[in-house]
Amino acid sequence: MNRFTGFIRRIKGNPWLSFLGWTAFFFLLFIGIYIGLLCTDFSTAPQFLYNQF
Amino acid sequence: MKRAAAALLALALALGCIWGSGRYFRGQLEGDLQRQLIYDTSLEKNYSPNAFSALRDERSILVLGSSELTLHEESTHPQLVFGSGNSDFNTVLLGVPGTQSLNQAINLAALSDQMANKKAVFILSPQWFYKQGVYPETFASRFYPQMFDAFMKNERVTDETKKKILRRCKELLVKDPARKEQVETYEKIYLTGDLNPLDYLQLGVGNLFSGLQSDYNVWRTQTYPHQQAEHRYTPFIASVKPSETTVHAGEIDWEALRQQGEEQGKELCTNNAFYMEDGYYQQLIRARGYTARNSERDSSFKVSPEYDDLWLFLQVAKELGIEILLVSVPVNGYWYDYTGFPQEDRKQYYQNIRNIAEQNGVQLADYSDREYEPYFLRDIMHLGWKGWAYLDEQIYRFYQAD
Repeated sequence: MNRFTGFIRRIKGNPWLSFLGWTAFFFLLFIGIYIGLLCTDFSTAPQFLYNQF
Repeated sequence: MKRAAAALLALALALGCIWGSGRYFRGQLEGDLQRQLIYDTSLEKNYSPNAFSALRDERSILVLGSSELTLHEESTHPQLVFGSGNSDFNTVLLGVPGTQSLNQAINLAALSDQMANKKAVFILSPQWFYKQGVYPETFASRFYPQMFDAFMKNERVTDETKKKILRRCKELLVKDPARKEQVETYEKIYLTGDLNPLDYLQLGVGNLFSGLQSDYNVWRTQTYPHQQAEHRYTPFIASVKPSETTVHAGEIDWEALRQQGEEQGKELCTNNAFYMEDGYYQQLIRARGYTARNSERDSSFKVSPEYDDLWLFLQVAKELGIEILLVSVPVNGYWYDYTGFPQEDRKQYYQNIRNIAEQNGVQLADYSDREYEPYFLRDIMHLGWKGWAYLDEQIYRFYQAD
């Protein structure tokens, strides 16, 4: 945990690293939303039941 | 400020990745997966016009139908006859259980620009022509937004025909209000000119995403077939690979193929007097018991809204300049007699189809006289070992004719 908070503090201290960190955060957020939407079934049609008998 | 700039950069990068993934999925459908998609009958394929890129090859012909297209064990099924895609002639299949004339009218218009060969085969099922026609639930579940979008954008289909199809779609989409609303938006944009920029924007963005999603779903289910919807995956179908040697359709011995069909049918129909495949017969008896006798005495195919839908399909084909071969598949005469379905009504249905074909000037592969031909069907209604053998030859001759 200390290593992690130390890492974040170092990033926050460097403007370029901070910018890159935020970019990575937003990028992952957008891609996550995209993948989530891609895998969602938006069909509103009633379920089709095939009865051939 | 820094965070806003980072968000903008991330958005630009993400949009680039989304665009790249779309290109990748589409490239796969038109490249590596193209051959296996030719004979695929998974539901997902129907959602994506890009899954039909094999139609750009002049040696391919579009075959529209419904449940009979699914490969079972018939060695005479076009997929096996034409080497699963490794052939100098292919039939690109489009149809799943529940697909009927109106859906296929939309699909035909959606794919017509891709069709190098302006010919298509349409296999009709008598069971579509019950009094009520296509059920709203069935139609809604076989309504593919991407196909509908391409249909509406096809300028060769006249506004008059589009209006008729839209009216029917709206009638049938009562069980799917969201989709009905979408159809009404299309009507506003493309037909009544009642353009609302917000509607247009919403439809455009929605379509862009829905196109991407359709391509993704085809790619996913081709790569992992067990993920197919409606439990349509069977290990047998997934195991069929393109033949190692190229099939030359002109060299096929059709008589021998029919003989082969008859022999296979004989082997697989042993436990009933209706010439049905054994497993199907067992399921049929389990589902309907012995109460099926005379249960269809009051049924009829004589009058149905499906006839009007078929007229619409043929009208679309005419406007697109696509030559159609209609296929009139019979019912299993032995079984239909057992259920008491009036023979007169069946004859009238076959005659209605003949009349429609003649009035529209389209060719008809008329198999109505084969109700009692053993092994023509595999069950009570689907083309079987011999039926496919006859139809394969007929399709090939239709493809070859000037």
